[in-house]
Amino acid sequence: MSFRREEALRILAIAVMMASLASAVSDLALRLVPAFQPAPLVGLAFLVCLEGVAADRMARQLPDSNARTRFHIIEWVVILLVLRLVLALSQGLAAFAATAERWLGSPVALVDWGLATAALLLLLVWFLGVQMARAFEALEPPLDVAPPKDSAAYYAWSTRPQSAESGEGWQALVKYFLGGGVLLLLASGLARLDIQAMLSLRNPALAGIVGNALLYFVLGFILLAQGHYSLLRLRWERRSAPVSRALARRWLRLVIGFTVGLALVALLLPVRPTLELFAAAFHVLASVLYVILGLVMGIFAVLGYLLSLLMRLFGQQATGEPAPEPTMAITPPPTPVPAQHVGWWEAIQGLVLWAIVLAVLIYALVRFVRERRGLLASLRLRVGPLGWLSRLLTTFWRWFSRTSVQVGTRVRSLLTRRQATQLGHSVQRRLRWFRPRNAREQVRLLYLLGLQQLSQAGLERRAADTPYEYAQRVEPNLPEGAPDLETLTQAFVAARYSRRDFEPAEVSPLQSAYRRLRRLARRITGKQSAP
Amino acid sequence: MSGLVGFLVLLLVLAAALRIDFFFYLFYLSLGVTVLGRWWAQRAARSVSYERTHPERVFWGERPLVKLEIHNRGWLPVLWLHVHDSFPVELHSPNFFQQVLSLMPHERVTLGYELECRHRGYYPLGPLALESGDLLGSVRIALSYSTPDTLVVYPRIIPLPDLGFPSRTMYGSLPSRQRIFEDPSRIMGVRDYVPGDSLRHMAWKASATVGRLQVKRYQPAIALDTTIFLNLNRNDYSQRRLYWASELAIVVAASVASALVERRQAVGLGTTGHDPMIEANDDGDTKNGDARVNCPPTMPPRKGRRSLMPILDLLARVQAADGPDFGSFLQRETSHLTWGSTLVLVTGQVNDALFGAMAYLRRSGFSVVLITVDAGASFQSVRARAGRIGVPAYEVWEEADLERWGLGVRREEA
Repeated sequence: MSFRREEALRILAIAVMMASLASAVSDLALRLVPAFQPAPLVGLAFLVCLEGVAADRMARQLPDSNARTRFHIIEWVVILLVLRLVLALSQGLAAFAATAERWLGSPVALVDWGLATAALLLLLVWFLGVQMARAFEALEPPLDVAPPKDSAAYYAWSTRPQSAESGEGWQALVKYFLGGGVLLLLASGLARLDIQAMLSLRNPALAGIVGNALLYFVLGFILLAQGHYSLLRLRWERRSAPVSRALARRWLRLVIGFTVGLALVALLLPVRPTLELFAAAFHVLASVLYVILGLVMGIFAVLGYLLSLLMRLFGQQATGEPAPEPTMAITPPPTPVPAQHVGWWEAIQGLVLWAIVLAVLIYALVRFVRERRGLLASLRLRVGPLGWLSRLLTTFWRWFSRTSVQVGTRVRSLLTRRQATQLGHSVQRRLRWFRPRNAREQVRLLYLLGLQQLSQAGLERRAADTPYEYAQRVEPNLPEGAPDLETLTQAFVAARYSRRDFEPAEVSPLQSAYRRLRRLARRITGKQSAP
Repeated sequence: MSGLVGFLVLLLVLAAALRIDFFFYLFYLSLGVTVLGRWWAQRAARSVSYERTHPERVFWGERPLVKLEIHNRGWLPVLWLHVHDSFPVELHSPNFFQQVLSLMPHERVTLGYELECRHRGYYPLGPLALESGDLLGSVRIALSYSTPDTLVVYPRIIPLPDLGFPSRTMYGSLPSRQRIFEDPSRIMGVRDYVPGDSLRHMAWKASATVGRLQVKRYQPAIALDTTIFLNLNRNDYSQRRLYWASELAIVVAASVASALVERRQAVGLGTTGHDPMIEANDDGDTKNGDARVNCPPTMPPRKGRRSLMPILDLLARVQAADGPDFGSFLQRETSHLTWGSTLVLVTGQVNDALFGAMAYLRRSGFSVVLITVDAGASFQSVRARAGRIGVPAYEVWEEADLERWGLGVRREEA
């Protein structure tokens, strides 16, 4: 897996935007929790976003959803481990030692509210970053290099539709950019706002520049413009319109110049007159509301007086016993539990728990690094920030390997050997599939996966078979799966040859059909392999 | 970009409610990117001009280069510009030229494309469509320029060095048996003097030699103009070969006209086809009493290459149509021609009315040559019948016949 230069720059820009967003949310968290340290979290958000984009691309190469899920679980175990270490180390070495001692006593103490909050923030950043990168990827023209003819991907390539639905990618890009922007504004605003002053309608204007928000929006608009360029380029390619070589470079220069220049001009524009204008409008509105409220209250008072007169006329007396004042129960502060001696049984429990935690972590780390070995190797050769980052990660990994070797050489070597053999088999068996970017491609992928399953069951598709011919030929051998195969075939033909748009809702029945077909194919495969 | 507009409104509300200065800066930035981006794109696109340069007339088979000079006259750069120039599919396939480019302030870019002129015709070039937009895709500017640029592709001209028509019927200044004019530069011999002979024609040396008065004999000569009459009435062509045969007839007419001009003869042209450059008369007073088609006026015979260009122009434009009857057309259009002129009739098929007209023309003193391009199997009878009224008839079934004809090999000759 490799990234083009422009693509790498875009991903870096997305990561910077996500770090800006994390910074804004961290500011808010800092206000709520004064001991919170946002700086390491911002850096971690940047790295998580980069890693998430690369990992998402690798995961989509896997044909099986189970493999993808396992891949992401491993990824998140590692992220959480790093987050835990970073959060603990950010409090200083002395505090880290005390915390580590507490962890040794109780592994459950690894998870606390601070970790959960930071993990949620990273999850948000990871999700937004991955989705924006996916949206950009959907805007890129499809790779037109034919795969080898004997590979499964060749049929997918040869039957690919010529018109890509890149509009979805553009809409997704705008949606995620604006969604992240609103989140950032809310977080920045709440982090700076004096709630008490606002509730008392004394809301003084807050001056100052929020650098992370400015960075987010300037980069975001540049990325949106680049996304629009990709969309246009795709359209031009579809029309076979030759594009001037200088256009891409000029576009980037003009967009950066325009956006940055506009940001500088915007900073020079006065804000106070606008604020005063809104304040005046707000006062007028408040006065009108006050008058209306007074009128309503007056009407109610008159009505109440008339009602009391009426009740007095009928001889009823209003019972006006005052309600008892609610007493506020003040709970005493919890008394500290005296430290107890840990018994041998609890010590064994702790050891077992730690062994499990360590095993999971080491397994996750080993898989994590092995699955990204190619990516790291290619990145190490680069110059610039990406190369520097990859070298840093490599150094970190080497340090971690040495440490883990010291902790349990034998266990790790056993696990590594087993995983290596499994990985070797899986690499041999793994087929490279194209990444579905929209509903249409998902439909095609499902059909092709179905073909693969049937092929493993001995019902191979001949090169000259059209989808309908293949279905007609296979159906006598597959009476139970005929309706599902027919459904998949019709959907595939529509996805391949028609120009109608596919809705995501259309995919789920096809997924069900594929799963039934897969079960059937596996049953046939099992029967064939049985003696 | 409705999402961006909603975002702007939300940003404004947040800025007003929270009273944070920086939100207003972001609002200005977002508004600027959206509104100023649109203004920039619209302003820049409208300052783009273009100029199309190309030869106005080309011969069949040439590949003229059309140049498009795109000029940004404004101070704002054009972020992107999709140039799309259209032309008839007969000139190139696909029938458009397109290029995407960007223009810096006052930049000129010259684009060019070649046309393949394999079909004669009168072709409009364009319209030129320019498309541009802003950096976020919120506005699309489409401009279309319909200019009167046209290109005339002359019909194919097949060289005819040896036409091989009977000498008295085809060429203008040629020997004639009708001794009306005698050319003193062409002495063909001497004869005995008879009273009444002019003394200026006396052959004194011959008289001295033979001992009797001798008079020079001159070759008779007459300036015989040639007018080509091209029949493009659809009814005189078979439906199956209408297009090919009518095009072939035009090639025959152009080749004969060119060959005659090469010999410095005066050539004219009349046709029953439809000229798209001539609009129908509003009062319906059309020639020939046929309101459906306006035939172009018959061009009187003229000498020189300058006279060939209008003929080729007309032959490039003219199309087969439901025109007037060819026979009656000939009778009317030949009334003003010089007595003794040669008429070359190029037609698809020959009917009785045309035979009647040819007999009338012969009786009127014209030399008539008949060339058919769609007679087919009936040509033998046509040739025999034409021969009876003294009209040589030729058949051209395909362009190769004309090429062979130019080399002196005839397919059918009267």
